[in-house]
Amino acid sequence: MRVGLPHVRTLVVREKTVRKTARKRFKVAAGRTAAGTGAAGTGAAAVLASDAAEGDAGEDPVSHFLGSRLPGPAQPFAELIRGHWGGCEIRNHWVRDTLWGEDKTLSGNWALNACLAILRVAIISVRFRQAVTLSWPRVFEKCAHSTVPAMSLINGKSIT
Amino acid sequence: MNPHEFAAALNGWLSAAHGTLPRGLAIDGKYVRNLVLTLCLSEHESGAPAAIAIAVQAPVNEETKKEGELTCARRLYATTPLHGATITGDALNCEPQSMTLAVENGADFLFQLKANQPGAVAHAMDVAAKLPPLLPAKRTNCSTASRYGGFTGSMR
Repeated sequence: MRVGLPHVRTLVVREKTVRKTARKRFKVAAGRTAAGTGAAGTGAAAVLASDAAEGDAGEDPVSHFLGSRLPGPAQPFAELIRGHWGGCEIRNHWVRDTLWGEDKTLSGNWALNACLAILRVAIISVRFRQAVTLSWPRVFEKCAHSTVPAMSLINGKSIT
Repeated sequence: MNPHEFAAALNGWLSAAHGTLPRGLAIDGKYVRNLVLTLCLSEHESGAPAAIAIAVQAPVNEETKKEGELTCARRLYATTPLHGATITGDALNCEPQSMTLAVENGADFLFQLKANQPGAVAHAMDVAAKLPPLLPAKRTNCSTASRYGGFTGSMR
């Protein structure tokens, strides 16, 4: 990797998780036009190859992505790829499943489960706006201990 | 209570409060115990939702899941303020209508490319394998870029 050049489009990062250490190489390139999509702004697209050179044995080592942004430094693209997983799976779906037991519902009522899912999503937003410094277990603890923090959240006030 | 109306009301509240800074939005569907398919546009940094949609009630199988996710995603792109956002999604979302809707509503997108777009993925492999590690000295424009092959039949 060449560091310091204005338009480096290859980025190598080493990611260490509990089970493995993976070296990933991100390459960004101008790829194609999305001709025929009829959308202004999709004329130039970036092709991104994410190469997990030392990942799991069964994992496809190279992933490709298509985007509407003009190609540039690889860092923002790498952050978007990491951010996608964190944004939907870790900070949204995991919270709903593990902390609220969404999938353990005993009801077979479609409308009831849909409305409860919407409420859980609303609470994720409320916690981000009004209790961003508190972890989820701490929020649960406070609201279980007293109704005041819960009412504060409902009334749009922050809790710490 | 009608879940679709409830989701629309929540989306109105969410969109009234979001800022104007550029943001990454992840789109992904989630089943509630193989019963309700929810689709959420979540912010990368916080997981906080920007919008949510509920798919219509349908028997659970792979085909209805795909169709439900795509339909909900298009509904969200059309109704959510997306200016300045970059939407990220899995390969299911990498299809022309979703891309068009996202861009028309002011967003950028970054979708994974897999075998559901065989022409595009073949070209992506070619580009990633052949090009040198630095950007070209001369800026390329759309007409130059268009010489690099095309999408599959469905993309033309």
